[in-house]
Amino acid sequence: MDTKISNWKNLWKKEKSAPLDINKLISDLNKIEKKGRRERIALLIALPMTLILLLFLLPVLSNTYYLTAVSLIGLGMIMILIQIYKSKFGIIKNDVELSNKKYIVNLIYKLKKQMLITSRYMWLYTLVLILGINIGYVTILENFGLSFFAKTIVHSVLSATMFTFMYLSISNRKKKNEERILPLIDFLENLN
Amino acid sequence: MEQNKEHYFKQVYKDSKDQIYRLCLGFMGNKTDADDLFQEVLIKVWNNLDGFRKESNIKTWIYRITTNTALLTLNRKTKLKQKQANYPIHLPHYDDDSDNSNNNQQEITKLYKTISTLKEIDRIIIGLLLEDCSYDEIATITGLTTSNVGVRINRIKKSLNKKLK
Repeated sequence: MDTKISNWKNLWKKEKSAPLDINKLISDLNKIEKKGRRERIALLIALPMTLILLLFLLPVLSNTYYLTAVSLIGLGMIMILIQIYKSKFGIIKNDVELSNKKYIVNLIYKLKKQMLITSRYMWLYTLVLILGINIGYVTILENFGLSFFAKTIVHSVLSATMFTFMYLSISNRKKKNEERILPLIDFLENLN
Repeated sequence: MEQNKEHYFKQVYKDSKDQIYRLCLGFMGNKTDADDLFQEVLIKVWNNLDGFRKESNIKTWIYRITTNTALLTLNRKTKLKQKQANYPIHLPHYDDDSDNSNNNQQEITKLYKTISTLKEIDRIIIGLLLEDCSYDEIATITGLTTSNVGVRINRIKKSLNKKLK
């Protein structure tokens, strides 16, 4: 049998990669890296800018209702961002360097986390969003001098519209996940 | 810093390109998909090169990246194609007709094609074995125990022998 292995080794090693322009490849890789770096910098600038903007807005939002509304929506967004970050990067930074077995386990964890964002966290966000916007509208509607009944109608229509919109978005995302992520999880779980 | 990275990448590429390519070809079974995977691996090697600890074994590091990328790519061919559209890199494709006329080339093609019919992890194990990796190295790369690697190798040898007859 070892002669067989030796023969296979000889055949196997006869295959070579085609020569390629390594300098051109490095130049392309540098371009991609620079683009990624620019995007990361933009993101790093955008976050403190948003916080500064919010600090400027806070005096305007001295009204408790507005402040509660913005805080609730902001917290909801942070919750989603944390989950997205976790699903994308996980706890292990250089996951491509893990052993195959650990890599598969880590990948399944991240994919399941992505599914969880749609099935659980997006619904939580919907709830917080509807609550926050309704709280904000309490003050807005006070300016129009509407009756209690009219206010209830406006709140109900607003909530129903937002719920429908979020329901459709979440269903659409869920369908896409089921088509893309579930078969991949299934494939990875069956690797042995 | 950037110069260092480029220099190191060139060195890694020069030393490992054939090994990476062979593992890709053994995993995918055809040159077009192997080229795509080869490209994906080179991108990952470049992206992760800064994080590579020099005291570690570069060969094991490269093989881990190659095999992990292969595992994911196999089920994500469509995604890979989308990615290629974003990455303006075009690797030269192989001319299937070149050297294909002789028997030796046919034997090589048959070996690679047969290996690509094995189970995914088995493809990795036999590929690493044919690249002269020890059982311990294969165990480190795959995450299996050394004894399990030995058992699997015996099974793969028998299966490959049968298929190649």
